[in-house]
Amino acid sequence: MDIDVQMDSIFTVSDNIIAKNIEGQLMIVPLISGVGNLDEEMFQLNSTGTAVWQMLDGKTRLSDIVSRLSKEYEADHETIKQDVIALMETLIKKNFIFKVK
Amino acid sequence: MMNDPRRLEISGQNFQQLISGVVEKGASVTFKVTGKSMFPNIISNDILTLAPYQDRMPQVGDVVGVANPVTHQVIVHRIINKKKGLFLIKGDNILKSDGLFMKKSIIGYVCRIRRNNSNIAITKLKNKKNAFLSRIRFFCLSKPLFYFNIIKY
Repeated sequence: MDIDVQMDSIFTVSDNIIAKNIEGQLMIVPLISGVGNLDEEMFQLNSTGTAVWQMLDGKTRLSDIVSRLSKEYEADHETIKQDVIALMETLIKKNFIFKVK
Repeated sequence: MMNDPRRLEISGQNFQQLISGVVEKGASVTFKVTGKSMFPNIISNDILTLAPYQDRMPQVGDVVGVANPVTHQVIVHRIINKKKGLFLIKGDNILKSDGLFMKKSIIGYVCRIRRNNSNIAITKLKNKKNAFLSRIRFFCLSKPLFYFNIIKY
């Protein structure tokens, strides 16, 4: 599995998940063999994670996502970059997203 | 940014949105239930798998998931009668029905019940028998109580 996350990488969301925005936070249910397990396998992204998720459209580079977040949250660019990379690695490991470039 | 696997407490409309989201994608969904309304056929902490109907029509006897139109909570009860495209839904262990529902309001049907790591058999015959018993209770017992309420007030 390719978990090499670079700033010019582009990611998109997997078809094998259900993601629903509930009260500003994203709930993710992976579909394992066509079954979504709401009892044990459910994940939640906070509002910042949800903002990142919404930009994973298969077109936007990671560097652009980090720039947009830096402007929006007025936080240190390097901190946001490290947080976004860590999130991408977690999402890739769980097969929620994959790299298109 | 991401909460790792853990039990998330969500209920009501949010839970219904998630279940519907999974089933609308043609997938099945597994979740734990609470309550006594389907006792003894379904009890608290049973893990149910709800599957989409797709092209199949709901049958009398099927245990189905529907969204309560008022509270938006998911109810898992049985179809006890069918008339003119509407389905009468009721819990096996309660007298009152949930009302008539259209097919589009039915999220899916229970295809698997797991209790203490074992599967509980679901058969057409057992479903029909439970629907019959539930229907008898509904028509024979709920109406006298209803009349009694009218007299009382």
